[in-house]
Amino acid sequence: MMPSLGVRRALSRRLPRLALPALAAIASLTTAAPASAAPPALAAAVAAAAAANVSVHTKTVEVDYATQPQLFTVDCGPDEEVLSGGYSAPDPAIRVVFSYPSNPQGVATPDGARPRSWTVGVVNSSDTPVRLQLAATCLTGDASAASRVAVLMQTRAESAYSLTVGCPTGTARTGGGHASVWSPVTGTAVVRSSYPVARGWRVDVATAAPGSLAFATADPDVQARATASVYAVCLASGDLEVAEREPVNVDLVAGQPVCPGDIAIPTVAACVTRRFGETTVQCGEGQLFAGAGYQISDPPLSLHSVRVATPAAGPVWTVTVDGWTPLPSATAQPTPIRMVVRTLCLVAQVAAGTAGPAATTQNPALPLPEPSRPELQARSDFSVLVGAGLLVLALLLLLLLLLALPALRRGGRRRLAGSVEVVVRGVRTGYRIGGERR
Amino acid sequence: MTTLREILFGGTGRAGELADQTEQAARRLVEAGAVPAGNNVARAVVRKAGELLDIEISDVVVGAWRTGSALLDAARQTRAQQGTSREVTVHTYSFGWDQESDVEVNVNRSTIAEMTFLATAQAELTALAVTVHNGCITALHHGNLDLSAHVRVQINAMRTPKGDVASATPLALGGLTLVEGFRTVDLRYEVRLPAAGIPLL
Repeated sequence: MMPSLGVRRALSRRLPRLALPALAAIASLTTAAPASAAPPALAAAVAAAAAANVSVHTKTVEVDYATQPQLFTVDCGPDEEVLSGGYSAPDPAIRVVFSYPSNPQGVATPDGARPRSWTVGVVNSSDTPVRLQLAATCLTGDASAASRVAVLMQTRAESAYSLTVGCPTGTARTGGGHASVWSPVTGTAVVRSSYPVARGWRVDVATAAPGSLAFATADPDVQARATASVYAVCLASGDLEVAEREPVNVDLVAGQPVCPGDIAIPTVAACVTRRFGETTVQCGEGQLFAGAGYQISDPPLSLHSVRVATPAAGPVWTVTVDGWTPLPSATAQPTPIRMVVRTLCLVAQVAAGTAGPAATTQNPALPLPEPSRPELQARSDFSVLVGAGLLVLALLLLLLLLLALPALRRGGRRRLAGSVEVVVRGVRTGYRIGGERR
Repeated sequence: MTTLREILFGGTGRAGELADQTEQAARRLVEAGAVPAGNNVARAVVRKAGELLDIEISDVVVGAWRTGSALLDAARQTRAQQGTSREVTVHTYSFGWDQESDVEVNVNRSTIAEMTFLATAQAELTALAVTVHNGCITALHHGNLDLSAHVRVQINAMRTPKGDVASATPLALGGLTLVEGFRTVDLRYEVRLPAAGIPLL
């Protein structure tokens, strides 16, 4: 393992931003009464919320080649509460296999315990060190806040399934993660989606099936099965509550089909096509960013396609998906894949008499600004124009592609015959002397 | 000096034999469906398997002596008592040597397969007589080496170009035997003895 490059940044957002709209909301509630008549509990809650602060702690490491997962951990401060965490591993040589709340030693936080850090487990299949950034979102300045972890672990044999863990009553989810028992031979869980649900966190899991990479050297009679865990970070706070923003939808772009040509590969689809999508989400004015999750629709992408799912400067949350799906032929249309990114934000509790614990909510306590009807109409007209333009452009590109396809295929075959290389990834030697391996 | 590559794939001075061994191994790979036919992929894989065994058998033998043998014991004793020498005779000394090499096969810079070469050598030394002085072998009076070796290949994954969509080629447990070889050599002509001897410690 290479030494950490040790970048640790704290990106702060003091809560005046949050407090001002909260105070405005209070003012709107109390316009009929003198300011001095504002409910004392409400004023106290807003004052406490104003001291709250969110930091994103990041760490950049270099990951050496290893066939087993390597764990890297980034900590929240001693006075801070873990809200969420994630990773940025844009290099396709890295496969992120775990991302979960933990202690500073990287041990996953048990059910009901307080997380202190965020840990990411990765496998680097290239022979050169690859850079990885991990991040944790942390809450400070809210004395009433306490985060706890809820965990559900299951061993399942289905090829695809979902695991959902709920937060205890009186708490709300701010982030979530996943882990699995790593076994490249008998199969391992691959998390395709990790996202918040009404009162908890869910992961969509695929079990590496016989015939896949993970089953490459296994006995074909062995049943694929995987043990996976889903983690929810659950926050209890007397001053803040968690609101989910309107989900952001991203339709993954499909690249040009890549076909093996005259490489005879059994049991593999005729072609594959690259699928790519990226988006950045953030919370609204007067809100603090807590965490986010992603949900990717079928058909399933290739394993470990989520390259980036992390809090970052701002703070914002970025998700990047870069994978492959099979295609029956070069001319077949790829099935659309949609990624939905769900954002969780912290807002001051302003509901009447809210001095008690925060309640899970699906709607922001401080509603986001809604566009007016004329504005919506204008947006709709603009969208139609842009859509039509894009359609014409896509048709032109398709025409060009069809014209150029025969030449590309000829060129591809010529290159195939010319460039073959066998790259050594690792060599191990040993002796056997006197019946003992040394 | 003989290398494992020569034992398994033929000597460089015997071009016909080298080509024949390589061609046979390449054909086995193709017949097993491990690599595509019709281009040079199989030959490139076999060539790489050979390059990885460009190791002199004297290095393998001395490595075994350094790992565990009566010679090693003698080396420790003569090092502990400076200026002393020991004549060591060993009737029979057997050892095995294994090498696992993980490789990727790239066609037009796209990985189409991942595989592991498993090279195994079994050696038996008889009538070994050496002088050990000050922790080093300073004379090798006698020694015969019977060495048998083989290389197997295990396909770990096959991929479409640049894609993760993958499938394993079903091979028999332990992989496909690419090549086998056997050689008897006189160690006096295989092991180079520098003036200061061969350090064992």
